[in-house]
Amino acid sequence: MTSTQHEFGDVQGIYLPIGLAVLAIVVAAFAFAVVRYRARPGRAPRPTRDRYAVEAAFATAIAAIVVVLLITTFRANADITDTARHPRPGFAVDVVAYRWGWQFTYPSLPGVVDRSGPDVPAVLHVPARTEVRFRLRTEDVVHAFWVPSVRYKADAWPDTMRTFDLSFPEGSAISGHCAQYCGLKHSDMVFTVAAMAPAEFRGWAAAARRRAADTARRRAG
Amino acid sequence: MGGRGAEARGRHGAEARRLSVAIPTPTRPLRGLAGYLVGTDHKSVGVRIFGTAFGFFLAGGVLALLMRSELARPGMQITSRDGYNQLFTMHGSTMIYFFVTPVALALGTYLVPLQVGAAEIAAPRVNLIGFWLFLLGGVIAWSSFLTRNGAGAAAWTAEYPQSDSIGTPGAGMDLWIVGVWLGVLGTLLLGACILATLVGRRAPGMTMLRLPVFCWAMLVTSLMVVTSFPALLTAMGGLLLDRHGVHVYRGAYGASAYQDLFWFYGHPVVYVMFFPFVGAALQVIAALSRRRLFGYKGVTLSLLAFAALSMSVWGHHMFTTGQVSNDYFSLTSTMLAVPAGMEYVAAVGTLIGGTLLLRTPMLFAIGFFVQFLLGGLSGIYVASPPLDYHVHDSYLVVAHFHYTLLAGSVFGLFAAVYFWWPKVTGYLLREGLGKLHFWIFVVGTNLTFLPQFFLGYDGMARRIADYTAADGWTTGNTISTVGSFVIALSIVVFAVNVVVSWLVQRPAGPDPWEGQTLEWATSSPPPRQNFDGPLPPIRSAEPLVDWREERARAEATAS
Repeated sequence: MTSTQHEFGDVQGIYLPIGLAVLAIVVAAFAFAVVRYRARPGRAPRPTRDRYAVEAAFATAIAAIVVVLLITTFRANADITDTARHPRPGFAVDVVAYRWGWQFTYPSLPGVVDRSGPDVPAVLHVPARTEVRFRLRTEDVVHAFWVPSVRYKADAWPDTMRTFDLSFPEGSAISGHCAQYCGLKHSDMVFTVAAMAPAEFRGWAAAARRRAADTARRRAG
Repeated sequence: MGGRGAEARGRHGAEARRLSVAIPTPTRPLRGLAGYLVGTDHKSVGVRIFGTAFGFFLAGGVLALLMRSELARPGMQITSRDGYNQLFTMHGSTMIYFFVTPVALALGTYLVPLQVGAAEIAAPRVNLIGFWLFLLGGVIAWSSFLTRNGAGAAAWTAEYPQSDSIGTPGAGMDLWIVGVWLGVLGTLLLGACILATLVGRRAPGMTMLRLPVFCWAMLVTSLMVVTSFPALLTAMGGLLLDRHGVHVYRGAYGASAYQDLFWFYGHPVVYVMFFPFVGAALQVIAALSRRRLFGYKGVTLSLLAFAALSMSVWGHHMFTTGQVSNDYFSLTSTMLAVPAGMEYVAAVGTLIGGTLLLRTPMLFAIGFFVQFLLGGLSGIYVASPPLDYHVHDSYLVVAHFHYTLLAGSVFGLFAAVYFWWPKVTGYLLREGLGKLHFWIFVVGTNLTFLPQFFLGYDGMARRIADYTAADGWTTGNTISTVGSFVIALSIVVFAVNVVVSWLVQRPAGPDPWEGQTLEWATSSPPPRQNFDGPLPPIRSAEPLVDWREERARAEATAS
């Protein structure tokens, strides 16, 4: 499991059971009231009395749950966003979002460019199970870089460089989308992630650099 | 009218106290088109706002059905990508700016003066102008469909720079901005009139802590309206200028400035579209449990805390932008669970110990609390940044806010409609058709929106016109689409109910539910000046319960 996925799982592991329990309790309370107190002949309502102790008890209980939720959230959020706490990145990617596609370049692989083509989604190549440092920017409007399977997205913000770290499980076609509405072809602004085992990745990187060098030579010639 | 007025006088005449304020002599109400155009009676204006907003609900609903039809299967079948973008933009804006917000304020416009024992709303002409601006704004926004490039297509949030003259060119977007601006200005005026009525038009004896809970809900609602709506007028005004050459939002800070302004309106408005229905549902629950509301002071305190907090949660819409302090907004947003929970304590605390009459308004009121819970709990979930990084702008969020708005607030709205319909029209809606409407609506809303939680979690982004079969979202989307047509069916049942009840009227009398608040102490529909005779004494938030108890005691002593 990767780090963002892990943090997401930890937080959801607290939120979801608590939420479902509250849902069950409240639905049960309404069901109980409807069944038990349904109007029948000869039944009169009890006069309403103030019960401040009961109300205070409920408020305190909810507040206690809120404290638990917030502690969980703050810890995980610090782990996700504080890049200083992360392991040293083993690879870096520069992402440019534009209407309507993606461009991925790699500082350690000069000249290698993965870019969306007409009707062909861009492919982001990364080594699997490696901390990857992303630098994300946009050429035009706000887009969002979202990889659902690692449970993370970040908006590409005008005139701003966003930095975050992700690591991916091995997989050749992990899907990614633009999540922020960006106009006509927002639906088509998809990409895939190819996260390769280290040896395989080295092979791809070598081939990609050769191809890039060939292209550059051809352009020069 | 005279007969019903006499009846109301007779009921409360014995122990009635003279009003110390003079009731102004009513002018003869204008009828027909003239009355529709210039009548300032808050009841008539309230009905006009309601009718107009409901019209927009139906229109926005048709857009929703078109969207759901497009999404039912992979591939484009109904419309183009551009057409789809217009559809979801107009659907969202219609529902928020021109349906839920105004319809909530329509309830307040009609009911607040009656509930506080006033003869008229404060500033009735301003109230009328509010209605006209709202109607005009809605018509202008919808007229954007007639332009060459089609309607506004920058989503209901019109986020910058997508909404600039390059991202969304054309006159349609400009019309959309002008329409929304006028509509929001109109609803701002409606809220101000309700607030002024609550502050300045309460009958003698109607202290703040004797206000019916619906009035408290409207008080905090209108406070949020007057404090947050100007932020939207600023944001949209700037946007219109920016589209025509004035550089307002350019650069990194401009995009944040727009979103900060927008969401400073955009989050309080979420509670503007919620509180009035909480108030209405609690009022229905109390009346049909034959019991006074439990935890009245707790509810009012929670509403005030809720409204205050609501002004400091807007950044939770921006967790993924990197432009706000996520922990802070997570803190304020999650804290909302406490006051929200207290509303539930009040609802359940009132039901337990009552004698529950499960009439249609009661079903919708209980349905409101139960269904809204899914929206509320998923709201706590998305208020956690580590979870929101994944689900933001996904269908999970779409499911979340539709459970608060359609599967939540609209239940509360129908509770109010079935409950107060006899007061407004003088005749009852049919019970059988009402219950049928309720159950079909329950099935429809859950069928539509439950699958969307899973679709979003699985990676389906919001505001996409299409997906592929390989995404694996076809089944969920098909179920959701079927559900949306079930919702439409329930609305047809409601329409049939309205027509049948109108054709063969069953007179309601002044108080068909044993109501607890002052509007039930006058005829149905109430006369122009609301109350023909003196008001019953106001010694609590349930003056009519006091009155009934006193009468029962008097009868017991006499016998």
